Amino acid sequence: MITVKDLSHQYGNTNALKNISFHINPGEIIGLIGPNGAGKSTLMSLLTGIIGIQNGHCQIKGKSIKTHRQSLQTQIGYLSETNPLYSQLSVQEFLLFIAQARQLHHKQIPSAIKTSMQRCHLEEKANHPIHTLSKGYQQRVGIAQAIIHQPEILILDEPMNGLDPKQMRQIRSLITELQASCTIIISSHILSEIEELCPRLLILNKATLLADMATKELKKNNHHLESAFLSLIEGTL
Amino acid sequence: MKGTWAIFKKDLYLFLLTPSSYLSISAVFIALSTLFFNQFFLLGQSSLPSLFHLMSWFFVFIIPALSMGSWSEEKQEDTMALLFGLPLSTLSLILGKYLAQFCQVLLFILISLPIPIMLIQISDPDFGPIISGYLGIIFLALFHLAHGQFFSSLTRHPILAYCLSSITALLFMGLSHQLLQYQLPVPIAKFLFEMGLAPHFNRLVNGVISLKQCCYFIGYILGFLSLTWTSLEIQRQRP
Repeated sequence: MITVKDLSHQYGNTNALKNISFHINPGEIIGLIGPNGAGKSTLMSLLTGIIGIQNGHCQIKGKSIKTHRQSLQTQIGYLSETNPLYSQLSVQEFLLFIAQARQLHHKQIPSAIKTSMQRCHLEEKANHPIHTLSKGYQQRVGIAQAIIHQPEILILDEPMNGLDPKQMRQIRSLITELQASCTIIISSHILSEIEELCPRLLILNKATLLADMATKELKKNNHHLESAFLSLIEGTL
Repeated sequence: MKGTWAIFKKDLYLFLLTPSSYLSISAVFIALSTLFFNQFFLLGQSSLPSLFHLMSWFFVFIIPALSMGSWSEEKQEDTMALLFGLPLSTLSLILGKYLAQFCQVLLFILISLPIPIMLIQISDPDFGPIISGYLGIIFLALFHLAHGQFFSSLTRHPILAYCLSSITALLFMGLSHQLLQYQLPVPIAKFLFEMGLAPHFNRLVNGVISLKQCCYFIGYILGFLSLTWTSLEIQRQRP
């Protein structure tokens, strides 16, 4: 589904990513973890076509994101860490804008909005301006816009940001439900969530891919994912 | 085109949602009417060309205010990532925003309509210059919007974009001014005169529609929109 080969990216003289390579199969849920500044957000921005590829290759369904950016973006849903929203619009107006900008057929739009709102439990807030919503609800609006077009690839950067335990459970079950039709990449600092959702991990550290392994394998010598992860990035595993 | 339409609707709707939009439209109407009717009643002379000239000076300060946030606010609010993540070309994004801002300017032009309607009622006007004058005003608005978009794409500070765009507007308005041309060698003075807005705008306001004037405005508009496109493409490549 996603093949990345020798992907590198620089901001000025700073390396954000160095020679990253991996392959993701359809239907997988991948946890992308690493300390702050490891290059996770840059990698996700490159995979979604938000920023252009400088060096290396990134193919989605056999097509290069460099040359087929627009057509591949129709199949990708993305929730960014900062969760950018037009806060003056109501939830429904915002989702209508996203559906139209994603060029869904006009007959599909009402049902797409309804379904994404239902999945993210936003129906009661449909007509509320986004700026009046709590952080948790705003996060759910961000997730709703990412899934409105039923993408084949879903990339979620810190999806649990600002959610309370009940909302976390709802989003967790939504992600599990989406796995049937989606390949999912999740980045999160909440390692317990990653552990629960993702059977496979990509671990970034200092702009390089430190490990590509099964979650179980990482935990083999250590009961807790957090301590196993810390040992790995500190080079003691 | 569907994507352009979505961006257009979103931007226009956000403009109409903001109370300050209505305040600025009302303020412009009051200021324009006051200045125009001052000439009309106190000096006893007023014509549509003087209305168009008045509007052209209003545009120097109003249009940069409309266009300053087009990209810089998206950068400030972090919504550029949202826009760049949508399956839309950079051209669709630019056109959507450009058309939405043009509709906003049209609202400012529309509120001036009672003045020409009144003048038409009390005199026997020639409709040719009225049409070409409005064409001049529309070209002028599109011109200022185009460089406004470009400067907005360069910065995340709307005020800086406003200043750069206003200065550019003033520069183009003043290029043909006699003071600037004083003592300059004739070929340079002639070149600057033709580069400036005034001769082209004046010809349209005086009822002369020619290919040269249309090419002048369209050329600059396409030039600034291309610069905006280049600027955004570079940012997409190296954010």
